[in-house]
Amino acid sequence: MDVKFKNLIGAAATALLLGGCGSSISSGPVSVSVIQPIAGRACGYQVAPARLETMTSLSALQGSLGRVVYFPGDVDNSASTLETGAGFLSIDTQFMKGSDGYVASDYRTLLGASLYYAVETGYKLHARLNAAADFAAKDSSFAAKTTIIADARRADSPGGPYVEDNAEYFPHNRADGTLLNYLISYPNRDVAELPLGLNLGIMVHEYTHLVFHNLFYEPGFHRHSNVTEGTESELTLAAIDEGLADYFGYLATGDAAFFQCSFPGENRNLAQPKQLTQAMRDALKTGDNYDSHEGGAVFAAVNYEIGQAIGPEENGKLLSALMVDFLTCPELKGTTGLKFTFEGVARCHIRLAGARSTEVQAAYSRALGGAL
Amino acid sequence: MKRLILAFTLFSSLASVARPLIPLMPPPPRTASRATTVTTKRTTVASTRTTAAQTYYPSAATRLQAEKTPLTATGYGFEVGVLGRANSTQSTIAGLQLLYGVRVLARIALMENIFLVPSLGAFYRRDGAGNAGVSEYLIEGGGSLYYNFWLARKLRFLVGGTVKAGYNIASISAGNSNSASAAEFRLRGGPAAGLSLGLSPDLSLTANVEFTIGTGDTARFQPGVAFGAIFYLP
Repeated sequence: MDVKFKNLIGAAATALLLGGCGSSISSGPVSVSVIQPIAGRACGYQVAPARLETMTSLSALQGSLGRVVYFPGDVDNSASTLETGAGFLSIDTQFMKGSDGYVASDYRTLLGASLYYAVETGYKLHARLNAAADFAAKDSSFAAKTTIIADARRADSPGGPYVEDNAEYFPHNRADGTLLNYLISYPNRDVAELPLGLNLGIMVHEYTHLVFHNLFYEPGFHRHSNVTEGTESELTLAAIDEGLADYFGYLATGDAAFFQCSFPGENRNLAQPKQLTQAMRDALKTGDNYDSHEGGAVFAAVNYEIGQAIGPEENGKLLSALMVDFLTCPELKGTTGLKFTFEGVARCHIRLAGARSTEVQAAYSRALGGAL
Repeated sequence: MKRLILAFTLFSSLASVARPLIPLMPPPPRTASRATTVTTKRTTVASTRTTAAQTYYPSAATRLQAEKTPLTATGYGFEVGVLGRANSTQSTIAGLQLLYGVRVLARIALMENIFLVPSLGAFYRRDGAGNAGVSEYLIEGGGSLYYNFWLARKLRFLVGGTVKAGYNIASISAGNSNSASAAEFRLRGGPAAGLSLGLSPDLSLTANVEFTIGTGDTARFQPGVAFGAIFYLP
C-alpha cells in the first residue's frame, strides 16, 4: 500500500478521534423535550421542553429524586437485583442540543427522560401540597432508594407471559428493613395511543402510590402487623389507593381524562360522575369479580366533584392530609388494625374538610347512595 | 423532510454543474482506436475497448476483460445502504440502531490504483410505541479513498478509509404534535472496503462496508453497508 495513502488514513483517524470527544451533556437543571398535557383539553398533549430542576446528570438520567435504569432480565426473578441494584444498566442515552434544550434521538432515551419528568412533576406536586411528602428534603438518601425502570420485564407467574401495557409502583424492603422504591414502566404492546410511560398522568398516578406507601403503609406497618383487617377492608383500601392516585394524576395534568389518552375505552374519566353500585359492594366483600381500579374510579370521580366545589388543589391538600390521617382516624378504627369502608373514609375526609365539609359530604352522599 | 428534499435537489444541481469541473485524468484513447478498426458498428465497440485497455495497461489486459471499466475514468452511481450506530440499551440488531438510506456518489480515479469516492447520502430511522415516536434524519456528505488492493477476473477489491460529515435532526412526535431539535453536525470516519463487480464496460455493481467511529454526545461505533451501481457514461 502506498505510504502516502497510509498517512492519509492515519491523519483522518486522528482528526476523528480528536473531534470524537464530542460535546458533553450538561449537568444540573436542564430543559428536555417531552410529551406534556395541554391543561384543560381532554387528551390534548404537545411536545414541549420541560425544565428538570432536580436532574443532576441528563446523560445518566439521574437526579436528586432517583435514577432511570434499564434491566434486560426479569425483575421478579432477580431478587438480588432489587435488593442491591446490581445489574441495572444506565440507559445509553442519545440527545441532541436544540435551541430550547435537549431532544432525545431515540425512543428509550425519550422514555427515560419522560419517566424522570413524571417523577419530578409528581414530587413537586405532592411536596407543595403536603410537606410530609417532601421526601428528598426529609431524607438525603431518597434518591439512592428510588429507581425508575424503563421497559421492565416481569412475569406474573414463573414462565408466564411478561407484563405489558402497564406501569406500577413496587416497594421492596431490603433485608435490613430499608424501603426501596421502584417505579416501573412496562413495554408497550397494544396501546395504540399514548404509551403509559409517556403519559404524565399515569406515571404521576404511580408516583402517588409511592407517596401513599411512604405516608401510610410504612408507618402503618410499624403500628399494626396488619394495616387492614378483613377482606372488605383490604379491598377497599386498595380501591382508595387507586382513587387517590387517579386524582393526583388529574391534578398533575389538569386533564380529568388523562387515563383515556392511553386507554380510550376505559371508564376512568374523573369528570364522569360514578356511583358505588351494589355489585361493587358485593365484590368488595367477597373479592369475586373485584377490580380495585373500578372502586378507585368512583373515589376519584367523587373527589373530582369535590375539587370542582372547593378547588382541585385545595382538595388535593385534604387528600394528602387524609393519607396520613387514615392511621389515626377514629372512623377507621378496627379491632386489631384499621377497618376501611368507603363510608368510613368519607367521614374522615368530611372531618378534615372543616368549613368545606358540606360540599365534601354532599359529593360522597351522591356517590355512595346514602346520608353520611 | 423539506430540508431533506432541498438537500437532494441541491446535490443534484451541483452534480450536474460540477461534472465538468472535476479534474479528470485524460480519458482512454477510445476514438483513436475506433478510427483504425472500423468495419461494422458492433464489432468496433467490442474490439475498441479491449484495445483501449491493452493500450493503457497492457499487463492487466486479460484481467480487465472482466471489469473492463477504464481505470482512469470517472463513474457516477448510487447506493442503498444501512448505517448502524452502537447503542447498548436500544438496538435493532446486534447492538446497533439502524438508519436506512441512499447515497449518490462519484468514483474518480486519482491514480492507477487509487480512487476517490465523494458522496452525499440521506438516511432515516424511527422508533417508537403507540402514537409516539422519535425520528432521526441524517444528511451526510464526505469522501472515501480506496486503494485497488486486488483485481480478479470480474472483481476489484478496494480497501481504504472514509470520512463523512453529517447533519442530524431528531424529531419527537406524539399524535399530531411534533417538535424538531436543532440539528447537529457530526463527524464519523474509519476504515472502509469495497467490492466492485464489472458487468460491462459501462456498469459496475458495488458493495461497500465501513467501520467508523462517530462523534456526538459520545463517540460511537458506526458501521455501514451499502450496495449500488456505478455507471461510466460515454
